Amino acid sequence: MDRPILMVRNLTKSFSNVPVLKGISLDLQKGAVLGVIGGSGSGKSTFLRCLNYIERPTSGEVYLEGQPIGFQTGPSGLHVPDTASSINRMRAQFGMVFQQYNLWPHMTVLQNVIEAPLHVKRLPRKQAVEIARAHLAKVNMLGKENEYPARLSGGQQQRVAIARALAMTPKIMLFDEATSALDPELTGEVLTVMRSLAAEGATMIIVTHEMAFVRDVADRILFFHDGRIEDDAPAAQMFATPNSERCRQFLARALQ
Amino acid sequence: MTTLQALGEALNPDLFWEYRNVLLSGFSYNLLIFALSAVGATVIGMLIGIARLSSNWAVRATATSYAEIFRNTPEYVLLVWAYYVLPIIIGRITGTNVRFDPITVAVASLAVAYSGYFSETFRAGILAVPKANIEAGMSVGMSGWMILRRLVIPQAVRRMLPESLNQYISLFKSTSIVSLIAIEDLMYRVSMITMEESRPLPLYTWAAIVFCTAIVLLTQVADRLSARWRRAGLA
Repeated sequence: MDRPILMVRNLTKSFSNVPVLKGISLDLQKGAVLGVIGGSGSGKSTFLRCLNYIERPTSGEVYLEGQPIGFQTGPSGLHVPDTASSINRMRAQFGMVFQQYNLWPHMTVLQNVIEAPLHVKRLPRKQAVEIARAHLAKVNMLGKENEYPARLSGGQQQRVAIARALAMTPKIMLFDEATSALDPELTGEVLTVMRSLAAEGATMIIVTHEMAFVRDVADRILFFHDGRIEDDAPAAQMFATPNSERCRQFLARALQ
Repeated sequence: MTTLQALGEALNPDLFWEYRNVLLSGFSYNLLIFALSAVGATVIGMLIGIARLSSNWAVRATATSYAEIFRNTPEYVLLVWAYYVLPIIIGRITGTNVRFDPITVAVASLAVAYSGYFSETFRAGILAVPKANIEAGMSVGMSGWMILRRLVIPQAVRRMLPESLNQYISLFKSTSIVSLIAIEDLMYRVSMITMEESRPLPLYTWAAIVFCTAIVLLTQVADRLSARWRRAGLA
């Protein structure tokens, strides 16, 4: 087996001394689609946000393609905090899709998507626009490039947000309850986009409440409970014969 | 003089018209001082507003004290103090004879006085930008400075616009006090001509009308210019 694209070692996070993540370890292979499920407050969103250092972990290590995120190992073997610019660089290798889309309201659809390629990657405008159009086409939002987010439906905004993340050609896509804020009739269009990304071989971590979807699209599922991974199994197995009793109860309730 | 006669005298444009060149060239000082101090107040206010949100305690305290001192000092007092008192203090310290250029003092005093207000408006505008918006910037690898410049300030400025417009109007009106330090603005010339002609009613009334008209016109222009831009994507 190749070296995992993502390695997480004993990751913890506390908010003012309240532990939210209590030691998460994980190896993820390139091209894998990982589902993360669990009750609210189980730590699954915090886990995602610690991976790209939007939330600073309290302890533990995250490596992307073997590169540590947020720290360097000093000459004595101790960890020293990484520079802000290097953290920004590592962060850009993750694409993140948020529950509330978080498009920038003062920019048009196209401006939202070219912003980071233009100013973070410093691509020439022509090239950034080309890339943006290709991704907007992929999420079926070409033709809305000059609209402002406020004029789009939630589903459309979320598809633009996915294009924005993809435009940086991230190594891993993180989805943080990407459909939770959407009306039921709008979740389908976003899930379709996510499904086609998975089919293209993108490495994805999907925090979700959409059980049917995650069973379908994920290779492997983690069940979070109280800041720990309580169950970790291939998708089919997780839904058929969950290892933990809590997971079984959670799924029974969720699938009702 | 009956009430009606007094009103007629106040609104009679003849005298103002007779002295229009002198008076309106005086008014150009008001416009000039307004334009320069508006730019100054905006720039200083923005920097202080950002500094007030700094994570560094000392920076935050300094910026907050600055804003409080100047927001709570009447611009009248500030202007007179800067023109008459400050040179004496500096002169005593350096042992030289210091004199300030009145226009420079007027611009600086008004800019400093209003930067206190602007810093507060800026601070509130920045705080109104949702944190999630900033996180989206972090997630694509933007630096803190880039997030401030590309995401936070443009949104904060849009939110600030209505309130800042009021502050610019106040600032414009405040330029009517610069005659205190012998700048020959509209009010200065009105009082000079009044001494000559002994007809204060029409002169002061028309000075008020000129100020009021200029502000209404400038407000209209600002509204027009910013309408499209303000609409652009404020949810």
